[in-house]
Amino acid sequence: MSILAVNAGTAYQIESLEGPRYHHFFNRIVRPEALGDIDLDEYGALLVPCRTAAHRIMPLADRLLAYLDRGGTVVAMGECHSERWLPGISFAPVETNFWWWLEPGGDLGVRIASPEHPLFKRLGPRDIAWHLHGYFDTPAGAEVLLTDREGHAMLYIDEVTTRGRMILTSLDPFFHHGHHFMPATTRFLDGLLPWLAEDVANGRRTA
Amino acid sequence: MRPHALLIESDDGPPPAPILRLIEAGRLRLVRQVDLQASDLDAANGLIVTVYFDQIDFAARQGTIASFIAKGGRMVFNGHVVRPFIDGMLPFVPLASQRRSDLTVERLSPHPVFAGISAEAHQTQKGVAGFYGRGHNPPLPGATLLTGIGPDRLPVDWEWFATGGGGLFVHGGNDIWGTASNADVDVVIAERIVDWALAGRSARAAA
Repeated sequence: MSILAVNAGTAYQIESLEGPRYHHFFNRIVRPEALGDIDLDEYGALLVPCRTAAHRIMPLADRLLAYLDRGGTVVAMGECHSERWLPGISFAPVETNFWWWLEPGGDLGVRIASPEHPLFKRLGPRDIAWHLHGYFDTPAGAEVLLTDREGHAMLYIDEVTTRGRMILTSLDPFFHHGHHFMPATTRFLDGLLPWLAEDVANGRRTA
Repeated sequence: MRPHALLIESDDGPPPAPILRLIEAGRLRLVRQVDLQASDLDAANGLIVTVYFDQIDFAARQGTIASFIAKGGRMVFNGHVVRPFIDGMLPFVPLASQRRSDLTVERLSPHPVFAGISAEAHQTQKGVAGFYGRGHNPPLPGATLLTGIGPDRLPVDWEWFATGGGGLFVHGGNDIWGTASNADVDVVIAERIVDWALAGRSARAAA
């Protein structure tokens, strides 16, 4: 199985998806509107990168739900209003503190909640903290991987709402990496994408 | 229809406050990029795009944009050029080093958009540098360099005119109306950017 990625044409998406660092992780890159013409079942995961306009994905919500119910995986990154086009998501935005690291003892409060998860063989505490944009109230049975200071989910895996798997985060690493700043976001993608590729290649689909 | 510039909405909105008031005043007309028609450009004096701009879409509209500028239209570009959509345009070049001292901005030429606003207003937000820019879009031949960044004073802002009064104002960072340390400065910059965008065809009409 392989990874299908959406490219809405922003500078940071083009740079992240087509640039040499990560391009090889994506078996196919398509425009949002093209998702309606593609056999999603050929792909183990669909990745919607950070800050993809929700109004371009929402018309395809039924198709994504059907794909999930056939056992597919959808990865929805931060700031793309996934609550508008995926089921069972409860999201609360927060004001962004971008100066936290200048404060004495600066700590954004992001914590690894499931250190045994294989993703954290590739990611450590230095790789997960840059900005908070919001948090999720997760359904019972979801696996929470990262939390904020109050214990709210910032990255979680939902295999209970559909027959497939949704990997959901409020983090926006593609945006910052593709805009050439915030090294932690590059390190985050250096961990996330190989894990996802390995997971998908191992035939994660179960439905 | 009164003279107006188009603001291309490429994200889910709403626009930030400095822009919203200009829409309410009728000087800016908001059009979603997915809905943009050539007739929208025919009716507008100017065109403003944000960092969320779909560059793949505009690369496919090169002829339309060239015609708009040739007829006196002015375009304000915010962000990083990744898919050049005007003849001679080159992709964004990130700063090789992004230490604090590499991110200092400096005015290079007087310009109505920046009149009375020192570069100091754009150095930091809450002590954090880099909002204004982290590199530059190489200027078109004949461009006037407006703001430099870093020790080499690379042109993070520039202005270029075609014969007939059309042209480009290129800002190579976050949306320029959201980069000042003081929100009042952002309001002034937003008003002046729209003044600039409106001026091309207005000047031609008055001639």
